[in-house]
Amino acid sequence: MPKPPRTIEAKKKLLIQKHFPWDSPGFPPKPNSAEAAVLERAVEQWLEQQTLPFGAAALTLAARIHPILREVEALVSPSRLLARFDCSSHVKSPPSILEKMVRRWAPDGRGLPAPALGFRNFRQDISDLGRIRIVANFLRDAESIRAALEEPYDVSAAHRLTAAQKRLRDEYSLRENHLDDSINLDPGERQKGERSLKGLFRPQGLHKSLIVELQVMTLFQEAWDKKDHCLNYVRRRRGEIVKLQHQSEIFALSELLYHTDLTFDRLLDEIAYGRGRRPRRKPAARHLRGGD
Amino acid sequence: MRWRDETLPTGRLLAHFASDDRSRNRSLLFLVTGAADIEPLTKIEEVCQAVISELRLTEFEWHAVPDQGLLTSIDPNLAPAKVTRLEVAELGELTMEELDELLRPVLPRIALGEPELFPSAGGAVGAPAEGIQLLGRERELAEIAHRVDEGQSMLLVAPRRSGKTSVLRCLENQLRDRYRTAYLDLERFLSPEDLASRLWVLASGERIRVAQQRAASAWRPLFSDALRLLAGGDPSRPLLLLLDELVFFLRNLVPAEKKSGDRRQPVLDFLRDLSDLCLGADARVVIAGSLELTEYLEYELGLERDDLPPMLRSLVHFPLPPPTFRSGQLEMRRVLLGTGLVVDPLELEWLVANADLASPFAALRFLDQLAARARMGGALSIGELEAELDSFLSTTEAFQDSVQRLVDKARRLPGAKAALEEALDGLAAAPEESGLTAEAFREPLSRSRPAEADRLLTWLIENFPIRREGDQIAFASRLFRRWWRRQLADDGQEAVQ
Repeated sequence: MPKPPRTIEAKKKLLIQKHFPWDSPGFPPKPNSAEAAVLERAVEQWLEQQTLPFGAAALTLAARIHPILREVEALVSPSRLLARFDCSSHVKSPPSILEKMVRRWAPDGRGLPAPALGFRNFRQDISDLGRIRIVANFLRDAESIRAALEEPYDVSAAHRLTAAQKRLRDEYSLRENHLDDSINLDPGERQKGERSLKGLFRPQGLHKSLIVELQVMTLFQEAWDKKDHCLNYVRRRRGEIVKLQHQSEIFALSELLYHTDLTFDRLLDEIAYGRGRRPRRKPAARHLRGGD
Repeated sequence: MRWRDETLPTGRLLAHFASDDRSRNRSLLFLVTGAADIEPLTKIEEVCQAVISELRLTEFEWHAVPDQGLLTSIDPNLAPAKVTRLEVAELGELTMEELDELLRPVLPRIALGEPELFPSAGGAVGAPAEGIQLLGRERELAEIAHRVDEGQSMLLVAPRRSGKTSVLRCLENQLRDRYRTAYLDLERFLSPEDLASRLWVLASGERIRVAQQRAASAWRPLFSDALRLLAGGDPSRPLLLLLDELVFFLRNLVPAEKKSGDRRQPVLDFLRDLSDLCLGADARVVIAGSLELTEYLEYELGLERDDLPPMLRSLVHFPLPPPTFRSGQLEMRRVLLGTGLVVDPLELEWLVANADLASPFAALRFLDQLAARARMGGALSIGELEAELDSFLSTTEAFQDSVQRLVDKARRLPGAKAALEEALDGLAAAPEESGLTAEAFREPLSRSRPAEADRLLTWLIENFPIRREGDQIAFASRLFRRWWRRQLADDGQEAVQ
């Protein structure tokens, strides 16, 4: 029996070779060439096509959120940057999808057993095929945005929703009606350095199978995330070993930047909103008023 | 119907950056508003990707634009002024096949950095339509080019405002590689000296003053030299003369107050010179104009066909029928996209049924009027569109040329006007799609002028937006039909009063 593949690349080849359902309904015909690169390109093209609706869902969600951000901005930071959208990776790339499929797959040399995440179920089981990110200036801005995005899904707040919030609620559902908070996590529960607010949105009706992950994070948290991505995440994903000490340092930097965010929030409170006041940790979107 | 909202912040950008210089770029931004745009945006991307791949277009990039206020954050070289913005909702109802048909010609234009991606109503002010603005003439252009290749010279015959000059200009551009093309709008030239000097400048690049001095002493040799120089002596690339408004020029040759017999000779002399020079240079000639050459020669100057020089005798009569489109809806949609008008399916149906593009000049003028209304804000309901059309038809001069043709014809054939009008009235009263049988349409003509009925029938078909399919005759332009019916109703009211 052939040896089990060790690297991510070898696993990807084996996955495509053994588990891509060529010529099945909804799948492309097998290319004439059996060359691995040709097959991989054909699979990537197919994945690209499959993820188009997720990208469209992410963009249309951004279009619905955009006016809400402007409303929050007008209320809490009319004279400074509140946040910016980042849609530069609004669709998960085919190589990332393939990597996700093989990451926890431990096949033997014949490619058995079949992966838990495969070509027939990845659309349902990967939650960030479509994704958008909002990068907030201050920590308190991230929380204001969170409040404004959760409010449409709070029945008790229905009477005070703005027209933009109502449109968001009418067109998209938010899983569990709130954004998951990995910023203010109990230190005992924290396993990784990433700090963000994450919500899973789904279009209502016809396209409800499409999931879009929305992340809200601060500029510092985004900066940390980008560095962690290349120094730590990508390497580990490839199966490379990142020294424990380096991992610890990267993790500690996340804590440090969290502290920096808190400090800037306190300074903002003291300088811009009145010296000595304690920072308000939960600025609510209840200030948003209006209606159709 | 409403005006496009180009201020929507979010969309998907398809940008083309020249690989050697990213500051040369051209883009299309598909703007989205909400979940209803998911499916159409997905289809648009799929179609564009397929077209890009099939046509082997390169250097295209897709970008997500969350806020078009920050467009340059995608690439500092991106030129916001070279971004054409469309709402995805404008393409929402289209099938993949329709999207393909609509976007396929657009992507190569983006790659070429063309400023216009769709035809628009805004330019319908009477100037010739060029490039993408020329609607529904692909078949005729190909046919004329084919005949020119076969060595024929042609006389284009068509109703006024139906694109003859535009066809000449397009031929000039399309055939430039195979012919030494020269387009001359002869209406601008008041005398043979003027024509000869301008032609010499065109051929030689010499200063106009010098050319005018030479023409003043002897225009014929200069005219002949200019044609020879233009022809260039390269048999593989013959001269193609595109002469617009020849009749205007011929009329300018001699004062109108002179009797036709006195006017005949200078005109014939000029035409003989032109004929000899063109034949000598193996030039092809395509003639067009709002005044019909054969009618002018025959009725105004009393010249018979045999009196004419060889090139004029050999002219192939090429009727330019009203433009036809594979899909009227799709063509209308292209114009709406170019104009910035957003319609729902019912409004599109109404537009195609009432303001079809078979009379492009009038239809584009009407769409321009609608665009002006929509730009002022607010949406137009179908009821309001009806009211706008009514107001347009009561004030437009877009069809006045047709009436003038009728008057001119009546001047040459006394008593024919009533019969011609009766035939048109009958056609306007007939069912829109089926029209009348040729016999029924011909009946007033046969009754009034039996000997000329066939010629008058042909004249009507060639000079009005009328189509003939087998034995059936109908108006090709619904807009013209509606206008004619309105004139009839107005005449009726005046008669009652």
